[in-house]
Amino acid sequence: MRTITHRRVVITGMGGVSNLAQTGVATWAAMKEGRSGVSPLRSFPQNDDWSVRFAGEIHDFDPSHVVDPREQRRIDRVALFAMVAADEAARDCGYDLRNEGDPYRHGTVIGSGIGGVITMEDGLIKLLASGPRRVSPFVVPRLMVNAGAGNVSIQFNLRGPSTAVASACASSGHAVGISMQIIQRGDCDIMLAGGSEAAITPLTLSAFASMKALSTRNDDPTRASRPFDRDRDGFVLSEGGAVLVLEELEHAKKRGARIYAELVGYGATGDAYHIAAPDVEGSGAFKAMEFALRDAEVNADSVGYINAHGTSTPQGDKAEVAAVKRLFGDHAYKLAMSSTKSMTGHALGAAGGLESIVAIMAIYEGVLAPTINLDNPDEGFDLDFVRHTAQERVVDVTLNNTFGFGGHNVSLVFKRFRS
Amino acid sequence: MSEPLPDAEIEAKVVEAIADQLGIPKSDVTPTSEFNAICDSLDKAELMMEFEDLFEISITDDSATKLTTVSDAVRYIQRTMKES
Repeated sequence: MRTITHRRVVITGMGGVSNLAQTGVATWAAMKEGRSGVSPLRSFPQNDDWSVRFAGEIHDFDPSHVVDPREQRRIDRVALFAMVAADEAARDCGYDLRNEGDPYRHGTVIGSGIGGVITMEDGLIKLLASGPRRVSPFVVPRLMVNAGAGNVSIQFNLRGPSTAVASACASSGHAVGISMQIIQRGDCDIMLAGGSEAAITPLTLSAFASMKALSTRNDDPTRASRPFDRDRDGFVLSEGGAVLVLEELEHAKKRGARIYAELVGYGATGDAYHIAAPDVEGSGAFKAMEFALRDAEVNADSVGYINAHGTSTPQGDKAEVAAVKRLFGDHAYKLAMSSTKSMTGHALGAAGGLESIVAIMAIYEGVLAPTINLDNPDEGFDLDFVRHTAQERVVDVTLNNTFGFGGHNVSLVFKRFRS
Repeated sequence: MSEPLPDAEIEAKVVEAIADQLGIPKSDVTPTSEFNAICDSLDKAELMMEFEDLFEISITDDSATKLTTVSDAVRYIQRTMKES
């Protein structure tokens, strides 16, 4: 229940890095075309012992336009994704964060599920091979899960709140929601919010494979991520980053900023059920959406589109569909819900950021990105999943769901901006 | 243990290692360059590891602290190699 009058928060900039494209703009364009960013694995050699030999890797990533090559060796890939996404978002919003306004009114929350695990693994290999005196002094600043936030704050001289969220695949959903609240309560006027992940490593891939969480469709990688499909067999590990510029409405209006949409609701719950399996009824997801809609003060019937968490796991998709049906009732059959993970795979802590862009652009452009590979919806999955191709549709309210191992559920509500 | 190298060769190798690691032109690294001016403490710690590998010597933390300039490092390396 709201007890205070909130300042309003709008989205004035967006940036992203994905396996579809190295900008948010081009990622969105690729999603509208229904392209897949999944491919055979290149990051490290694999033999036949590996049950999963593909992923959603970003090939030929080059952050040199944002981070000097000299500096790059000090920063893990996961933070570089955040910095490149933040750079695009900051340029997109048309406000010079480094030189305008009070830097203590500008902050950042950047989530990551795992942090700098590439650095962690390389560091451990070095330690075992060469001993403790050969462990690089850059290991800690590279691997810490808050490295994205720390580096982005330096990048843009953000001197307000600067922190990280680590709630697995819900990390950037939380980051956006918490950032919204920081602006609402008056602590900041602008927040760079989002998340990044760069965890396609031998340890992470083998560990997710051991959990039987990953698709093993090695012979057909681009069709492996198939949320809501009868033949889905797990998620596709991917990577990326996304950052949104959240801005207090009056601040944005005063400078004549372009407003993509208003961020009106944030709901967060915990399943308190199992450390990795979803609650089969989707109770936590249901409540997160309910709380988000209540926070937004919008009726469930006004929701036109949901960007689903939809990872393509048998249980997760089932729980989410059940939660949506239970919350929306008859309206569940009128709204559209797609999973863009069908194209990107699952970028873990970056997912909520990347997919918020989809939920925002649905409002701004009137286009719903598709769920590709959904050839045969599973039994009882009878919603409009925007199968195969994008749909043009005017929607005024959209949701972005992100759920993470640990039982973390986040739902964000975006709304067409009207003054 | 390796044979001691002439001072000039050590200096050239040190300059090259510093320039390479910091991603700066070799011309920016001179004998009088101070580590504090061209890099931070983390870079310097990593450089010391690089010198240890390159010249097969050991640089104690106490010694590293006292190496202020590039020529301090060159002299230290030369002396240590002769002692070994």
